[in-house]
Amino acid sequence: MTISLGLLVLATLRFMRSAPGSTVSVFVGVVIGIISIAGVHILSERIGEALSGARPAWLDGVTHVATRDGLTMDDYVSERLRWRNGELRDVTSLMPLHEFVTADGVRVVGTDWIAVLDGGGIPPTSEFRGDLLSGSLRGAPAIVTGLPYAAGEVFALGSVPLQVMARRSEAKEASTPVVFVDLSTAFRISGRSPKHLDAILISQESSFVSLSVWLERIMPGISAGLPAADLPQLPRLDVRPVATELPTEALIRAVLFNLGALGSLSLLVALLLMYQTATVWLRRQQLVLRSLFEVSVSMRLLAAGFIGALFLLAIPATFLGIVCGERLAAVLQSVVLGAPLTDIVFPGGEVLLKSLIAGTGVAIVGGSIAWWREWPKDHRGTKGVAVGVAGLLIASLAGWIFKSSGLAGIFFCILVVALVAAFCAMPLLRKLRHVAQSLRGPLWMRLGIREASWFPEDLGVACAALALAVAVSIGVGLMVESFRSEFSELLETRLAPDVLVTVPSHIDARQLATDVAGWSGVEDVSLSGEISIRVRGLPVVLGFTTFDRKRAGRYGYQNALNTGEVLINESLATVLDIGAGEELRVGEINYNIAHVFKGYGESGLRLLIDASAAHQLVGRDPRYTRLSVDTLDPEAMLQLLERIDGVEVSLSAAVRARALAIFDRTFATSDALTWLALLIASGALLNALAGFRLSQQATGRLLDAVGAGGLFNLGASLVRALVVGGAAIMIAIPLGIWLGFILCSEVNPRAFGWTLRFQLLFSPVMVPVILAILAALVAGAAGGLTRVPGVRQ
Amino acid sequence: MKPISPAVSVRGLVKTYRDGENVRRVVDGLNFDALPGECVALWGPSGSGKSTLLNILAALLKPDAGEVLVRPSRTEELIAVHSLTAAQATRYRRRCLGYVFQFFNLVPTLTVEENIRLPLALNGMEKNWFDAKARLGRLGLGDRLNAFPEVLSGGERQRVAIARALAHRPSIVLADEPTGNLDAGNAQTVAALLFEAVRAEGATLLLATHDASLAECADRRIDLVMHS
Repeated sequence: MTISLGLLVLATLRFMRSAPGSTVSVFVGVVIGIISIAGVHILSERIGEALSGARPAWLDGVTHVATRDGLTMDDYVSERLRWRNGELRDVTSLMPLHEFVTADGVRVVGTDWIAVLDGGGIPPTSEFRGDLLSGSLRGAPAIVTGLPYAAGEVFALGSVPLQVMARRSEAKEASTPVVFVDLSTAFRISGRSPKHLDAILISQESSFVSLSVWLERIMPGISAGLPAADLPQLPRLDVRPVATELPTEALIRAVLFNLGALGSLSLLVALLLMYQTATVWLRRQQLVLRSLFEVSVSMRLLAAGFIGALFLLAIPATFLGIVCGERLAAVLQSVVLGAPLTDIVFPGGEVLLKSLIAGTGVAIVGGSIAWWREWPKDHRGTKGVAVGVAGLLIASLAGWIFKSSGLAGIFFCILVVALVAAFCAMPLLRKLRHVAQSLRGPLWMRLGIREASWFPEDLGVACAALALAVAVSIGVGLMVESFRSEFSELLETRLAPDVLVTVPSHIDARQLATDVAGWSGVEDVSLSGEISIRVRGLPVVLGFTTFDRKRAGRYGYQNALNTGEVLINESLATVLDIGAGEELRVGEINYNIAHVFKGYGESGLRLLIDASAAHQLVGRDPRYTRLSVDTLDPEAMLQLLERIDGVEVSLSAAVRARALAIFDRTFATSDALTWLALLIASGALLNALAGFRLSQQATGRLLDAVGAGGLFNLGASLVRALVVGGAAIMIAIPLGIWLGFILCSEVNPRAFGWTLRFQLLFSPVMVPVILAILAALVAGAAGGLTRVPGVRQ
Repeated sequence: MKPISPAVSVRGLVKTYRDGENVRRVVDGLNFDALPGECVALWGPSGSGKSTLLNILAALLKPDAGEVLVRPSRTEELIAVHSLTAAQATRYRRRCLGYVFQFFNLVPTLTVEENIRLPLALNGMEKNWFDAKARLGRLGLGDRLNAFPEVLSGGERQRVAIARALAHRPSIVLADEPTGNLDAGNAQTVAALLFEAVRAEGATLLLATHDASLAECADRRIDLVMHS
């Protein structure tokens, strides 16, 4: 007799119908897993689109930047010749770059416009493109950011007339207004020799770059975790990836990578749920399957029937997950950005494909592992598995030790260590068996504890899933709270002045400072400003103010800053691999690095000098743009300053509160993702306990027959669930603390360039633990209060 | 002379099972009484409704029609088992019944002592432990108190089950093919121990079996037949 695959699938689906509780929990598990990854993907995609829109026009398509001190046009010509001769493998274009900041604080960027136009770098300029090519423009063509000129308008920079061809949206990098012009125009404005160059922009196309672009579409943010592509071979120059020019974009991509990794957690827990349920189902069907096998139905066909049914179950769950994931993304976008909720937009092909692969993959992989482990058991050896796990652990530790493995290395380490630790649940429960055998106390308690420890195969995976979810929740919570605590301290010190004032270009900041200093109640006024410069070819924001002892102390340096000293932020120290006490050459001057300060939330490289040294460094009087005022009555000062046209005034208390609110909104996404994982893990526990009761039906029937009532069963069920939950917590607490430490000490420096002081706080540990206990209690109570039929009805 | 009132009285009992559109009448208008201390064999082939009848007597199943009346003790009135609520049924089983199954008689995660203590604990009769322990000794298992069921032989498990069923001195003992899983020698020993122990306690035994020789050991045999 031939049994078709369709019939086997149908039989398994009917079996699922007979166990609606566990079928629904598997369905919901897949839905939540897909919600998590689809939601994160869609959110990341939307943020990625915003990032692309904010990328400066001159960097479109650019993959690397080459610089050196004293770079000249001759270097460019020489490299171009080498490129034309085919010596620069995979390089598709080279472009010279000249940039500087005018006395008015406008950043001018000049490059080869013909090359940019050919590359489609100026899409919004079509109405002026004809004028540009026919030479009938009224000024040199320019693209502006952060300047109040409309497209078509003509304005002058120095003595050079410029016509606006397009406005680019404000990029976070642009702390100063930016004008993008042709190289020759830039030289006319700066008045420098056309032989001088600041950088050479390089576009490279290699299979690795293409792969990286493709992967970025499938998993937004992943490029932050990939190793850097091979650098183009320009031996006389310093060549760096373009990400160094786009610190905000790099920062956000790193955030997206972290979110992507966190979003995958729910899917991983869903996989464990699928495995756990498939295992229980297989045990219940084992007799039937064994009989079919003995009447010559092939094992492969039986496996295909079983896994095929799980696959069919996963498909509708995936589609529901995608729809809900889109809504989750919209809600998170609304929460994080404070924007109104958007209408439903059906996700694109990448999301559909990724979700379908993930959803059905969970079903196939979870079902297959369960099948492989459960039936038949004749040839299963654990030696190979142990060797494999040991190998993976060693490889993962390399990701921790070797910083060059980047984000991908450390996340691989986290994944392996977390999984290995979580799967200690089974040996832990087995170990408990010895203790439980000689246990005293009420019989319902002995029964509950022993049942949990005698059947670790039935409950161990759910225990591992719960341990994993709780550990991640603890780890992320510890990191966020450590971060929040340091960020809060930083805000308190950096934003110590009572009132902060941003001064527009038409007001003389020095004069305003003198005037304000004379007002009653004012205790102190300080001026500050910043400009963009290059240090060793890297774009750096140079900040300057009077760094007396008090102001330097806000950055953690306890002395006044001398003219020969600078403070640098951690990101700059990491990129240049330098530290306090070392020398740093900026322009033509050598400075001593007095201190490396923390700069959470700063996306870029920062260097601070005393105002008295700024003149020497930039060759002119730097323009001050900000005032910080200490006063007896901040509210009154606010009202006085607001009367001045164009001045932006804030109370530092309000700025601090706003910054903390933004901080909390930012981490709402990670909170949501850890909650989703906890939800699935709770479902897994509930499902495992229900499955356990089904597999222990004979004991249930016996207890029924001896008159063990609701309280006895409830007590035993609660204890059983609490033992599983307790084992999960025993694993989760050390794992979570380790995870928090790794997130602070490894992930943050690798992703964002700053270090966090890890703080072992009570609440981030206790809240997930309490939630896990509650989840166990709910699962135990649900198990104890529902009756499994013991006899034929 | 006043007639002896029955410990168990079954009148017009009907039980059917449904499987889709098929309806199978397993018990059809059954009537019988069992006197206090009487050992009654419910004899019949597989499918004749023996286990179903025991489950109805234990209030684990509800009949479709008919009455099941059980006297909890010699001094109490008959109670209508067929109309007990779930909570009343649990209390009834806990207090009045001892049950011996064919398979899975013991909770695998409790020791011999704990399995026997289970009905005592449920009834708040922990002080009866020493009697129960003595009975276990008479059943030849006095040295296996701390053993878990997995290390006991089939015969030993059934003897522990008998000790457990009688531990709390129930008025009724239900035994469902108690020797069905044992070899002939063990079956004979276990059956003898069961009858002896039940008689010693003065309990009423309702024993479901398809084994005619076992049924012969009872005081009376009720034949159950297969219904179409």
